[in-house]
Amino acid sequence: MNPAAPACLALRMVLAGRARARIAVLAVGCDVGALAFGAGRCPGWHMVALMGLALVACVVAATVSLRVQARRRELATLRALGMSKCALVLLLELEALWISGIGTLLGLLGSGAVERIAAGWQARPGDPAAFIGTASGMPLLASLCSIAGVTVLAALGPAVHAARQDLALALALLPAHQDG
Amino acid sequence: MKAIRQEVALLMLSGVHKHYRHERCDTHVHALCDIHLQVEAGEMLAVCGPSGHGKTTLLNLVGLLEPASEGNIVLDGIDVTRLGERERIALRERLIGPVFQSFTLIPVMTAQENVMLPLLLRRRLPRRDWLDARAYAAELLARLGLAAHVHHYPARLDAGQCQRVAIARALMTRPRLVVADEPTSRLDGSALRMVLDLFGACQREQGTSFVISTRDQRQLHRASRTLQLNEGRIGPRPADLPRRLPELRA
Repeated sequence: MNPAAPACLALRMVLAGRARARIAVLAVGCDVGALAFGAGRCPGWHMVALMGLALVACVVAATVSLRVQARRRELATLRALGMSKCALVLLLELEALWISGIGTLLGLLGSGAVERIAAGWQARPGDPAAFIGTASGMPLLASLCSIAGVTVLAALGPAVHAARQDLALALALLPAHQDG
Repeated sequence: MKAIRQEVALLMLSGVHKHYRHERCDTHVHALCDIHLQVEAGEMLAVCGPSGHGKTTLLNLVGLLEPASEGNIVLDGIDVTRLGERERIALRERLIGPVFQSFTLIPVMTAQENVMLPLLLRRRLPRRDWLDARAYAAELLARLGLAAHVHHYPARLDAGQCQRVAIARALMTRPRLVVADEPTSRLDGSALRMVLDLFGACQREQGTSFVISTRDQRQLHRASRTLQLNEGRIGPRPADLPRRLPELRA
């Protein structure tokens, strides 16, 4: 596989990212896990779900913004070496999707595990795993699509901003902290 | 806009000015004034001068990273001042190998992948070309003394090694023109000799031209000509005239 293909490069950048990417994955995971666990259990759950999605959007937007800021020279180098603006936006969108995707997976697995433990404690062996949205009748796929859509929209602003940055200015920056 | 081809030297600048506007204090900084120069195929032009006197700005213009405020830049017979951004990018990809002052490498890619990056970003390579590209990248790294570091990530390389990887990356596409901003600033004696030998081989074998900003006397001695920039102007000596230094070459 082409190691510079956006999907591959984005995953490698997320996996190599230090504090920010991991914190973002954990934050999305906790958020989605809590939503999944609480699905249909509390009144007005739909409002809670919307707030959860807004939280995912905030986490993703902040993470992508910070990662772009920390890697301005690196992104400018990619552009200067031939990556198109669209490909750069795609790269950052895919990074955001990997972050929210891994977070969502962890959250769902965590909520499933907690659900089983709780069912065991409360002696309700038949209680189905409360994946996100199942209690409200919304299929899992639609919920995942909602999270993906929110992620794409949240990452779009910082990604476009990164693609439009002045190359000469970004390349002249002093060495940036290669975090992310 | 349609490009106009002209039969001239590989690179020609005539009456080029570059000024920036400071947003905060609403003042203009004249970074380059009335630059005229010409670079032939296979020539190495060394740009020298004090820090902050326009070397990097000149290289940014030549490397098509930013447009000139006034004047004409003709590259390979194409007047780039009349091109749109997309055409400038296409021309840059086709003709120019850049070495940036910060020589930024992609930290999640190995040295070999970093060298191959310009090719990887541009198109889907057929398997055969892919293998050829890998072999050429390894060869470039070996010629720069990095054979043992082909699969190392940038975090495991020191600054001089990273700089050599960036130089190999610029040469990977066999560009007609290499634009290098202080490409040897972090290199010691033997590494510098390897880089200069590789530059010389590219000049002879591929007819590659080089525009290099440097303060290193050893590199100045290898250059076909030197250009002194002083406060954004060419001078104090008429450096655009050929000034060959065969007796000083190694």
